[in-house]
Amino acid sequence: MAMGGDEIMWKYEKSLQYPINIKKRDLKLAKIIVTQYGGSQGELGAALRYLNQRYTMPDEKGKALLTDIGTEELNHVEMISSMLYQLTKDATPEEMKRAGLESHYAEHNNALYPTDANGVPFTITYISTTGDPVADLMEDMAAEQKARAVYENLIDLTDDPDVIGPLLWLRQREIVHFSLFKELYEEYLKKGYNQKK
Amino acid sequence: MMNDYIDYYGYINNLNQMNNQVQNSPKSFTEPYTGFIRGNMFDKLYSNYKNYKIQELNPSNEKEYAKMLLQMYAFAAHDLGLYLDVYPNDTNAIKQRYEYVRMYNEALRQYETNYGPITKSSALLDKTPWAWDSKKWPWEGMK
Repeated sequence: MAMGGDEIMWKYEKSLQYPINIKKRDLKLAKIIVTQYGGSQGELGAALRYLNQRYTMPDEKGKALLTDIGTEELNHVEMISSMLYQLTKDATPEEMKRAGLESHYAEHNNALYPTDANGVPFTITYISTTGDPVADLMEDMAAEQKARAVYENLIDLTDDPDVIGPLLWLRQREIVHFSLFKELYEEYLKKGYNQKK
Repeated sequence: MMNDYIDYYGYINNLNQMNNQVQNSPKSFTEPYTGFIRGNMFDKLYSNYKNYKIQELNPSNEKEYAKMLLQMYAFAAHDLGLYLDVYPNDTNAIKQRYEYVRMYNEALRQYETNYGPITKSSALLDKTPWAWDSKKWPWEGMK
C-alpha cells in the first residue's frame, strides 16, 4: 500500500508495510487471527472509523492525523489478510474440517472473509462517528488500546516466530497511534472543541 | 553471498551518527532500521510485551534486502509524518523526515530497476508486455 507521502488519492503499491513470510500452514491460528481483520477491534474497522471521522475534525491536525492513520490501517488490513492467506494456502476440505473451519469452507471455500474469531461477519456498527472531535478521539484511543490487547491475546496463543514477529510489530503500531491520538485529544480538550457554540 | 553487497553494520552506524544530530526534537527518534523492526520510531513510546524480543529481519538474498530498505525508509518517513501532523512546527523532524523520503525514493528506484514495478508510475510500465501482473503479489510472501 502507498506510504510515499505524496498521495493526492489512494495509490496501491506492491509492497506490504512490514514483511509477512509464514512457512507453516496453521488453520487453527488463521481461525483466530481473522478477528484482527473483521472483528470488533480489527484493522478494517479501524480504517473505516478514522476515514469517516476525519471530515468533521475542527482543524488541520485532526484531518491530517486521521487521514494518515486511517490510510496506515489499510496497510494493516493487507498484512493481516496476507497472514490469513499464507496460513490457509492450499488447505484441503479435510484439513479445514479438522480445524473447525468446515462452516467457513461451506460459505467461502478457501477465500478470505472478514469475521471475528467466532465467525461473526464484520459489521459497521463496530465503529462510531459523533461529529464531536473530543468524543471521536476518545473512541480512537480506546480502539487502539483494545486492538493492542487483542494482539497480546493472539501472541499468547501461538509459538510460531513467523507469526509472532508481525503481531508484535502491529501491537507496537497501536501504541504509537494511541499516543498521538491522546496528545491531540488533550489539545482539543484545552481548546474546548467539545463545547457546542 | 550476503557479504558481497551488504556492509550492514557500517550502514547502521552511519544512520546512528546521522540521527544523533536531531536530538533537539521534543521527541527522540531512533534510526530507521531499529524503528522499522520494532514498528516504532519513538524511543519514549516503545514498550515491549512480556519477554518477547524484537525480531531482526534477516533478508536471505539481494531482492529481499532491497525490499527491506524500501519498507524501512517508507516506515521511517511515515512515522515521523504522523508526529508532524500533531507537531507541524518541528523543523528538525521535517528535515529528518524528508531525508528518509529521499532515501525511500532511491531505494524505490533501485528495487524497481532490478526486480520489477512497485508503483504504477514505474518506468518499467512503459514497455510491452505489461509488467504490473508479472511478478509475485505482496501477500504471497518470499518463501
